[in-house]
Order: sequence, then C-alpha cells, then structure tokens
Amino acid sequence: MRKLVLLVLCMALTATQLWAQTRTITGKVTDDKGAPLSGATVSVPNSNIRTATAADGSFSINVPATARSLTVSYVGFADFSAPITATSTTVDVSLVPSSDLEGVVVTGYGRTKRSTYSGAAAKVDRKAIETVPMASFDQILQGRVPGLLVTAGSGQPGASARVQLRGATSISGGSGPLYVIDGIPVESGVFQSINPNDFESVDVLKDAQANALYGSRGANGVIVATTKRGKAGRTVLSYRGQVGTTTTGTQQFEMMNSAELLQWQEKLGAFSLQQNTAAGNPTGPNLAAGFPGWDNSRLNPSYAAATPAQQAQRDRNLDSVRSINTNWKDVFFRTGVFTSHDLNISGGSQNTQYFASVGMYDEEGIALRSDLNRKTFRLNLNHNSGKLTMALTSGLGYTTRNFIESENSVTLANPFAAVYLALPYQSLYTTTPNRYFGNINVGGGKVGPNAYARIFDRDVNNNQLKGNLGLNFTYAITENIYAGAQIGLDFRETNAVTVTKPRTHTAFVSAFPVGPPSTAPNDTTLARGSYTESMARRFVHNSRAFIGYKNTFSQKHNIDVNLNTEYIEDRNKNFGFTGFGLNDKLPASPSSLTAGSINNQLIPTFTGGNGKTTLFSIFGLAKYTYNEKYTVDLTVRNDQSSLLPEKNRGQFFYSVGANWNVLKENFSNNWNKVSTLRVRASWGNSANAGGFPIAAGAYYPTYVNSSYAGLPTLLPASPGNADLDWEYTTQTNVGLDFGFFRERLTGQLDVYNKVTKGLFILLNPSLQTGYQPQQLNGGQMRNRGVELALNYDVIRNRTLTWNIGANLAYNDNEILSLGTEREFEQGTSIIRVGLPLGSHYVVRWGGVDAATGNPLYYTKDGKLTSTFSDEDAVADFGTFNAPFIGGFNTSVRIKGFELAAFFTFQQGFSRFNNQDFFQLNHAFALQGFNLRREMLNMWTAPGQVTDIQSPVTQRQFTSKDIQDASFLRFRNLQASYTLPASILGKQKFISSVRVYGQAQNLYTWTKWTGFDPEDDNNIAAYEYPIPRIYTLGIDVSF
Amino acid sequence: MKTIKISLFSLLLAASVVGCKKQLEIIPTNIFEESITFKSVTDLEQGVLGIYQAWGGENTMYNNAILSDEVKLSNENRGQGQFEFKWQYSSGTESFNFFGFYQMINRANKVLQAAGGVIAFDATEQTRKEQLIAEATALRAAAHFELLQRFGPVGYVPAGLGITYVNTVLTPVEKPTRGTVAQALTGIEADLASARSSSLPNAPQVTPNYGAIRISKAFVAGLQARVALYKRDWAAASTAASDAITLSGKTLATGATFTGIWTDAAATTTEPEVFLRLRRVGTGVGTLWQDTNGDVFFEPSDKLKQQYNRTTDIRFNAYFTINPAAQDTALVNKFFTSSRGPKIVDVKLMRVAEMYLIRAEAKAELNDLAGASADINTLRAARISGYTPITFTDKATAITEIMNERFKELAFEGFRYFDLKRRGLPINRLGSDVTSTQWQNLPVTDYRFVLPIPSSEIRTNPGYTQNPGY
Repeated sequence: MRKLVLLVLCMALTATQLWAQTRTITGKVTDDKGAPLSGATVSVPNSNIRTATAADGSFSINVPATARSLTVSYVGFADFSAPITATSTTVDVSLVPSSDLEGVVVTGYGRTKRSTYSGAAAKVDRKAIETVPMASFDQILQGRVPGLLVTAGSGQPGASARVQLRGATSISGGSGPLYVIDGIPVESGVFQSINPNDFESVDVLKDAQANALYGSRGANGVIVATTKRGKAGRTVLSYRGQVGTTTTGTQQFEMMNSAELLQWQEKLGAFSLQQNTAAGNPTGPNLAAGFPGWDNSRLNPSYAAATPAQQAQRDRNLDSVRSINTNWKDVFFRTGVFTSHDLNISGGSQNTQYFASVGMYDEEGIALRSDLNRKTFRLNLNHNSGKLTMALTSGLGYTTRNFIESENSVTLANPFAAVYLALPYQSLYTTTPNRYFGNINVGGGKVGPNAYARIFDRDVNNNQLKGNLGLNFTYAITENIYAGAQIGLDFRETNAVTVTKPRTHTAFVSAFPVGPPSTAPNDTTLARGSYTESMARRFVHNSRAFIGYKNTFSQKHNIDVNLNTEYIEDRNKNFGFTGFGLNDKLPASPSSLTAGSINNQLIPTFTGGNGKTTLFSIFGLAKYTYNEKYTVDLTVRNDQSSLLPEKNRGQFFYSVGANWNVLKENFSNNWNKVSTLRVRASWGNSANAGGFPIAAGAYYPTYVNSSYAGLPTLLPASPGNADLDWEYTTQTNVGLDFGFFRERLTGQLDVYNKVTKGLFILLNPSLQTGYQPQQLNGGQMRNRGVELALNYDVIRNRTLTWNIGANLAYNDNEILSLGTEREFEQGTSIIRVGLPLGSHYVVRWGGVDAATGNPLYYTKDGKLTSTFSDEDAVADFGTFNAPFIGGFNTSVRIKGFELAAFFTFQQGFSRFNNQDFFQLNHAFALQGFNLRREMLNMWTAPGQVTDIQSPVTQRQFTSKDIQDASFLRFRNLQASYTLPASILGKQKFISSVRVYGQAQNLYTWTKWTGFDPEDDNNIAAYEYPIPRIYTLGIDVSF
Repeated sequence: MKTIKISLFSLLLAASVVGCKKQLEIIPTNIFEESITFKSVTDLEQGVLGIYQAWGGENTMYNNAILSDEVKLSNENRGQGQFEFKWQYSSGTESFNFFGFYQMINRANKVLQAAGGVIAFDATEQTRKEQLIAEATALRAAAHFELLQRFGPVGYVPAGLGITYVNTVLTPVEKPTRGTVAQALTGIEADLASARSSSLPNAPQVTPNYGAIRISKAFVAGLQARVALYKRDWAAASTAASDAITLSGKTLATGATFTGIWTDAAATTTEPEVFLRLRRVGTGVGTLWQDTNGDVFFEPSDKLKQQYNRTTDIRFNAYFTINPAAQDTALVNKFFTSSRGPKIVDVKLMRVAEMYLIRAEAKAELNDLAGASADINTLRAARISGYTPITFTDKATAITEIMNERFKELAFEGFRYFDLKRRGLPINRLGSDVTSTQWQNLPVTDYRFVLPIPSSEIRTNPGYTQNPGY
C-alpha cells in the first residue's frame, strides 16, 4: 500500500512538471562534417520530454522553463549536452563520432547505453568489417576484440573459423560463442551466406552479466551482429565494388628439385650398398633400387661392370631425368579472381524507415576448382506509430561453392599434399595419350599427375540457401508499462554434390562399383562413376514475449524491470544418396545414373536422419540506475532443455552487475584530464546448452537400427546416462572504462575468473563393457585472464588525424578436476588435471645418435634411449590454444587520404606439424614421394652430426614434429581516398566517392615451417592455407 | 482497458509455460529406447544378427597372416600393416580388435538378458526363441575364444593371463580385472555345452541368398574341438571333431567345387565344406591384401608358396595368382573376389577340412598314428591329384607334418600365428620374405609373441594386468 502511495506521488510529481510553463526550442543536429542527422534524440535531462530530429536534422521541442540543458544522442556518436539559457530559442548541435568504446551496447535483447552498462562487452564497428575480402564474418573478427580467439582452419573461400572467447569452457562440448543477428539466434559456423557488408556493428558480450540474458546458452560468450537500418530523410543509394586477386602466401620450406632428389637417391643407394657390404652381402637388395638416381649412378657397382655404350646411356638417362623439373606449385595453384558488388538503398519517413541491399560476392581460391559465389538480399524495416514500434529484419543468401578434395587430410587426392609430395622429375603430360585419360601422365606412383587429373575427374560442390527473418514489436500499454514479442526464424539448407565422372582415371582406380579393376578394355561397365547428393536442413524458430515496467522517480531513480518467456525449437533433417553408373554425356545430374539391379550390382546407397531439440526459458531482468552514477543489473533466469533428463532439466541462472560512473561524483569535479572513468563488476552463472555434446535420448539406454549384409539388425547405441546435467560456468568480471584528454586516449581493462563445473568428460568405460565412450558430468576447468583495449589519437585536427589502437588479452586455462575419471588422451593431447586443455602429449625427441644414426628419445624419467615406446609420452610441450592474443591497428588521415594498417598476433602456443613427418621421412621417399631439402643432411656415416636419422631406422611421431606456431600477421593494409566536395562540385547526382586499395594477409612473421601457423586445431595436415588477397574498390553514394 | 491488456498478457505468458512443458519431452528419431527394443521373437532375431555384425573375422585372418610367415610385404606397400609385420606394435597403437569382440559379447549379453521377457506366441516361436538363445550363447563363447587366442600366453597354460569371461551386461563404470586362461576356458566350455544341448539344427542351414551364416550344432562341436586343442585335451578334441563332421553332413570338396569355395560360387546352394561364413557386401576382405586402386600391400610369402606342388596340388592355383614373369610375384587369391564384385568375398569361419586336421593332430598326440595318417590322407587325397597315401611312423614327424598341412590348407584363414603360439613354435620367415633380418625370426620367448592389451584399457582400468614386456 505504501508503495502504491509512493508511486502515485511520483506520478503526480511528473505530471506537475508537465503542467508547468513550457517554451519551444528549435534547432538542427549535424555530424562533424555538417551533414544532417535524422532520427537523433533530443531530450530534456531527468524528464520524459524527448523528440527525434527530422530528415534535415531539424527538431522542435517544448521544454520546461526550468530546463538548463538539452541532451542530444545518436547511435555511433557521443552524447552531447547543450546548455540552454532561460531565453534560448534555437540550439544547433554538431555531434562527434564516438570511438569504439562509446555509444551503446547491443545485447540482442535490447540496447543499453555503455555509460550504464555493467557487463564486459566490446564492439567491432562497421568500418572494421566492411570491404574486408572474406566471405565468413567470423574470420573478420580476428584480432579485433580483446579475448576473442579466432583461428581459421582453411583458406577455402567461405570457410568459417574456430572462435573462442576467454578460453575453452568445455572439453568435449562446444566452446564456440552464441551468434545472434538482430536479436535472432543463428546457427554458428555457417556464415558463408551472410553478407558482412550488411552489418552495422558486431558486439561481443563477454562476462556473466552480458551472457546471463542468454542463460544456458551464454557460457561461451555471445556475438551479436546488428544489420544496417534506414534513416529518415533523403533516399540514399550507394554502391560498393571491389575487384582483386587471391594468391598463395609465404611458404617457409622448400622441397627438393630434380637434381637434389637424384643426388639424395644416389646417397641412399651408396649407403645401402655400404651396409650390405658390411653385412657381407654386397649384392643384397638395395634400398634405392629402382630409383633413377641410383640405377644410373656411377657409384652403382653395375655401372663399372657395364659397357661404355651402356655407361653413356645411363649418363644420358640421368641427364634427361634431371632436365625434367616440374614445378608442381605452378600446376596446382593459381592466382584467383575476386570480385564483390553491393548495392543498397535506404531512407524513409519519420515513422517508417527501410534499408534494402543486394550483394554479390565471387572469390576464386588459390587451388584450382575451389571457389565461392554468393548472392544476398536484405530488407530491414522499422515502423513507429507512437505506441507501437516494430522492426522487421529479413536476410536471404544463396551460396555456391566448389571445393578441393580431401582438404586437411594426408591423402594424395588433397592437392595441398600432392603438390609437395609429387616427384619433380615426373612430367605432367605424356607424349603417348591414353584414350580415356588424354595426355595427362597418370598411372601408378604418378603422384602429381594423378592428383591433377582428380581435379577434373571429380566435382565436389555445395550450394546453400540461408534465411534469417525476425519481427520484433513493442507496444507501450501505458507510459511506463510496455509489452511485446519477437519471433525469429533461422533457416539453412545445404545441398552437397560429389561426382566421380565416368571413364576417367579417378573412376578407373576406384573401388567397385565406381570402377572395377576389370582388365577388359572394351567392357562398357568399366569406370562407371558415382553421383552423391545430400541435403541438410536446419530450421530454428524462436519466439519471445515480454512485459516490462520502466520509470524514473525523483528525477534520479531509473528503473526498468521486465519479464520474458522464450521458446526455441531447433529442427534438423538430412538425407542423401549415392548412385552409380553415370552417362558421361550427363555427368553432374541424378538423371545420368543407371538404375541398380541384382545383376549389375549398382545398388544406390542412402543416408538420412532427423531430429529436434527444444529450449524453454522464463527470465526476468531488472536495472536500476541512480542519477546515472550507480547502476545495478539483476537477472534471474530458468532454462529447460529437452536434451536433459527431467530431474536436471530446469535450472536457474543468476547474475548481478554494478557500474559506478566515477566522474559523476563531486570529488572528481576538477579531474579535468579525465573524460571517462567507470568501474564495473559482475558475477553470475550460465551454461552451455548450445554446445551440448549429447543427442536426444542420451539419458536412457538406447538401440539403433542397422543391418548386417542387408539383413535388419538391432544394435545397442548407448547405455544412457540418467544423471546428465548442465555444464555450469560461473564468471566474475571486474572492469574499468577510461578516457583521458577529452577522449584522445581511451581504453578498457577487464579482469575475469571463469570456472566451469560439471564439465562433460568422455568417460572411457573399460573396453570389456563393450560400450563406446560416454559423456558424463565430472570435471572442472578454469579460465582467468586480463584484457586491455587502448585507443590513442596521436594527432587529431581538421586536416590530419593519426590514430593507434591495440588490444591484448591473456588467458590462463587449467583443468582443475576430472571428477572420478582418470586422465585420458584426446587425439595427440592429454586431458590432465593441472594442465591446460589441448596439451600436447608425445615422446620427447632426443636427436640422432652421431655414431649409429639411430633416432634417440627421452624416457619418462629423462634418460636417452634408442627404443621408442608410447609409454614415454610426456606433456611438456604446451598447448595449441594460444594464451596471448591480440591485434593492433593504426591509421593516418590527411584530408581525403587515409592509410590504415592492421596486425594480429597469437603467441605462446605450439602445434604438431604433421607435414614434417611426411616430408622429413625417408620411408615416404621409398614409397615414391618427394622430400624436403633438409633430407640431404640424412645420416649416412658415423660421426655425422645431423637431426635426420639413418634411412634404415623407423621414423616415429615425436616432439620433433611440434613447433612454435606463434605468429604476427600483417592482416590488412588499406589506402583510400575520399573525393573532396570541391571535386564533386555542384552536380546533384553523386554525393560522395571513395576509392581504395587493400592487401589482406600481407605477411606473416613466424618460426613455424608449415604453410600457415594459423589453424583451428592442434595439427597441421596439409590444410588449405589462408590466401593473400589484393583488391581495388570504390564506394559511391548517390 | 489497460488492466485487461496486462491480464491478457500474463495469461499468455502462463499458457506458454504450460504448453512448453510438453515440447520438452522429445522422443528421439534416430535411436530408440531399450525398453521398447525386444518385444517379439523377430526383434530377438534382429538382435542376434547384430551380434554376427560385430564379428570381425577378417581381423583374425589379417593378423594371423601378417604376424606370421604367411605373407611378405609387397614393394607397393605404403605403410599398411608394416608395424605389425615387423612386430613393432606397442600397446598404444594396436588394439587387435580387443574392443570389437567385447562389443560382440555385450550384444550377446544384451540379447540374452532381454530374451527372458520376450513372449513366444506358439510352439514354433518358442523353438525359434530357444534357438536364438543358444545362438547368442555360442556367439558369446566364440568371441571370448577369439580374445583368448589373441591375448593369452604362449602355449595357453591354464594359470597364465587369459581374458575375463563376461556373461552379464556390464554397466559403464564396471572395471573387471583380468582372469586366467583356465577361467576363460571354463566359461567358453560352459556356453558351448549349453548350445550343444539346445534345439539348434545339427547341420549348417543355408539362409536363402546368404549361405551358412547361422550357427549350427556342427559349428558348436567344431568350436569345442578347437577349444580342446588349446586345452591339450586330445581325446575331447578328437571326439568333438568327429561329432562336427558327422553333424555337419559335409564332405571334403574336390576339383572345381573346392576352387569355387573361394569365390563363394555355391555358397547359397550346396555350401560345400563351410560350417559358418560371415557375409560381406560392399568393400570386402580382398582389400586386406590389395588396395582398390590395385596397389598390392601383401603378397603370399615365398615360404608358403614353396610348400605346394604347383602342378598336382589344387590349392596352389586356388590360393594364389602367380606372375612368373615378374620374379614369381604372387597375389592372395584365396580371399579376393566373388561374383558379387571384385575384392568382395565372405569370411569363412570354419570348414570341414579343419575338423580332419584337428582330429589328425589329436590322434597323433594320442599316439593313434594310423588314425592320424588316415585323416591326413583323406584331406590330401581331396587336394592333390595322384596322391599316394602315407603312414606316420613316429609322433614327432606326424605332428610336424600335420602342422605343415594346417599351414598349407588353412593359409590366410586366420590360423597360422595362433597355431605357432599354441604349439610354442617360433615364427621363422625366409630371407627372401623380409627386407631386414630384424623382422625375420621371432622366438617364442620374445615378449612380442603375445599381443599387448590396448593401453586405453590399462589406462581406464589400472587393475587390469598387461601382458609382460609392454
């Protein structure tokens, strides 16, 4: 009752103000260059009096006689407080663009002014996103946000990256953040069909307060993208176009050329002969027998025994082999063409604004056959009719991609493996063409030509349709009570096709039924080929309803409380088939297939499945701000996931945050050099529902349908875990936002501690149980770290600005507990308490014994031995997750010219270089592959000091193959020129023109000797390296 | 009016809470609950077929070939099986199908656990149910025996480290420690005895279009005979082998019928010699020896090829394809192809020929040299044209001859390495079959003669004893 009285009293107070005498103030709001800003908010502080500027930036507002200032705010610009006197009638305001640390934080559930935001969040502005020649926007974020680790595993156009915020929070579940576009959660890792040029900004929400809004899905952080919206006023038509080239980056190693390889073969032959002689069997089998470098060598005993004519023939043989020097890089790599075009139209009236765009993006990869072609469409609408505000978001993208084969695998079909393993003395073409294969020199052991033929013999492509639709409306029921709903759809359908063309070499060497190894040359059933097509559809629907109350009491107490319910349904479906027997006149269509029968054995195969998961949440948010000085945020949330057993299904998540704006205190009144100083703190918990490593039904024992040679069978699928639970992450964050010298130096410092409990651990049951590994909740892991972002305007005046920015982050990851489980190996790493996730686990390399040429290893207790044993593996080689990451950028602007450079780095991590295992391994030369130039140092004589072991020993996978992968990358360099208004003159047609040139991935400094130190996993296995891209572009507005 | 709006909204919120409760209970669409799995005899039938599905018979063939003197590395080998061939395996890298057979055992135990609750609706169904129970029991014994053969000690001494007999469904947290050879044999024998006394058919039955893919009493008896050899219970081995021959009604094949066994020619009709086969469709057994693109991984060893008379012994051309022009290089022809496609051929788990060899060995051990000679003569007469019968005059020669006959008759069928281990004989390869003397001979005293328990088991289950040397 007392509260009600208070409320009524407060309302009366507000009302009284409204009745007091008012006057009208008019004016105009412009940006720093004098262009009118439409839709800017002009308000009287501590009141509800506000208005928006019109298309020409003009406004008119009735203010109380007592008002002494007007606050003007606009997204992307610093708030401005304009003093007014008792008699002011006009006020013109020019707003200054805010730096990254200013403005607003978009949380996906709404927008919050940074000055009253208690969470830790960073914003990437459109300027850092637009024009970057990368199809997947997650890759663009590398080095832009402190604490955000972005590593691309592939340079295939459109490949998405591994993204991790503030360290991994799960061992076997997903550690990637939640992605939200305009409030609608979208599928992670599938961004190839989304146009980053449509983005206004990307906000990265890092701490518990920021993530609590997403409750059970927010533990790994949230990346919120906001697309561009129209502004009331003049209709703006703009065009952006770029053309460019993609080329290979820097390579840190050299393979042998023909002369070197022949020399190596001779060396091997001489060594083998010497070994045989020592064993009393000089005519015994020679390791180098069959290699031209030894067969024709003068050191070969048979040379001396040959006739002079034969000797001359051998010399000629050697010369002719040596003279073939195929540069396989020229064969497999190319300079790709890059083009992109964007056209958008935006504008609108006071009540309705629109933004429409179409985009075309075309990128050829550096490997033959790989490319991406994308078409995107977007229409965003906003409508405001006083009480009802509505926002519609709609994006549609269609992408087609062609791929290389077997990317990231050590197979000869992978062109990035073949290009290095191919023998330099083999030629690509033959002078005796085959009736099927043409003049490509294919055949057994022809590594290069075979892989080259595969590029034309097979098609691997997919096309993807992606749609994002969202409708958000809010209705002001009363001045203080609002309600609304949001409905969103995220749709993706990927259609993948793999074709082995009939009557090609690749089909010929494939297993039945693609190509039988029949020897009958005219058999029409030979080399039938295959056609595989699959369709995968994902459809996520989310709906949220909310009701809230907000008010300001006594001009100081701001409260905003709301209650929400949210339902998310994630459906997926996939199916595919493989058919055989293609008609070579119709290679890329199912209509080309031969129907299967018991006689021709061309029985098509199929795959498929479907599923659904749901998540229901009910949550409340409360925000209280006192006089813009103190802010307290409180979130309570209950989430229920269909993936968990009923007893653990519903869980509560909480968070609390506070923000103290120090400069609002009296004691700071004369801190003239300090322009921003805020202290933030937050605590809360969240979970990993977006990355559960479990499927529907994992909590009870299950069976699966299968077949034994065509007879239906029932097989146990899983014993079930009735205790499945959430992975709870609790995070504490303390942060500081600061600005000095009128915001010339700004920055943000955050310290956090994040502990995840109930980690999913892949329990390895005793093999005797017959069960595959099972997920159970047991472990504990901690991430703690510090992040710093700094921005300094070294020079800031009308004609010249020079800006330097940097962001640095250090994250310390440690597994605190594995519950009841013992440590276990995961691939080439070990999961062990006290070590970070991803710690390499392998036997330590001890060099080569100069006396015997035997490889040496260290035992577990540090003794040298020549006996290799897996049991001697140790975990002393660090982790593949870089603990120290960041980026820095600088830009100089002189009038219309601007030069901007951007660097990223990742420091303090190591990775396996599996390429070394193949390229520095004599055993693979014996199988007919080329090796690295270092192999010429192979041990062949006692006393020889080298790290390449004798060719009669076994090369093992050891710490020799672990390398420091730290890198500093010159990520982007851009030079641009904006035409001055004087050149555009008085013509009314073109309003602005900007031309620019840029280089992406210009150079990489690293000790790594593989293709590319950057990768999304622990081991380099012939990945598609990140290309270097040069483009020229133009932006025109009409 | 406002009140109404607010109430309406609250009502909507409340309704959505109730509605969503139902949405959270999702029945999986790609798997199904165990409680609805075994509801009928047909379901049990599918469960039993699932046990066969787990039987990696080719693994037994492959390991016995590459660990022993049956094959040599081809110069087209790019690393396939080289570590095992050179006995350079370690507990971390090789599992030798330890998990695969326990997976088979788990499936058998699950079927047996569920079978009691399945209602048979008539007498026919009741018989079928009993047969399925017997089949699952026999399969459980067979899987345990495969494990014992791999991981048991040289000579299979009863007190040696055997394997644990698992005859109940284990929970994922159970970690049984290691049993002895004797314990494993007891479990195997009990299961086989139970299957022998069931209503299983005596002779192998040909499943239409598939051949003898199901267990019969003849197979159970044959397995009993095998087990008896490992126990050195020669009398039992002889009896069981005789029983198996009688129960099966199979005779030794000759001529084209014999050659046809290796291309599954009469598998679905007369099914000569074979008691039990594992049906293979798609990529098959032939890829053990040769890649689909034609690269040969392993060739038959010179030592094996030398055992046969190339002109009179039908086995030579049935088992090998020889290219005399290229230094007598050969291909394994025995498990290589069928009319269902190149390299697609079934795994033969037991043949009547083996029963003759078991009985001959048992009789020789029992000093019934005449009986042993008779069995060997029967077998050889079926294989060698113009064969002159022999008579063993001393036991040692008889055993040597019989073991050699096993080498020749059962090549690549998954016996050689186990036979040498069982008899305590070394692996001796010919100099021409190896590229280094380092992997030419393996004495029985070498720890590598006994395969390592996978390190993942030891890591998870530290109470489990590893074989010595690893």
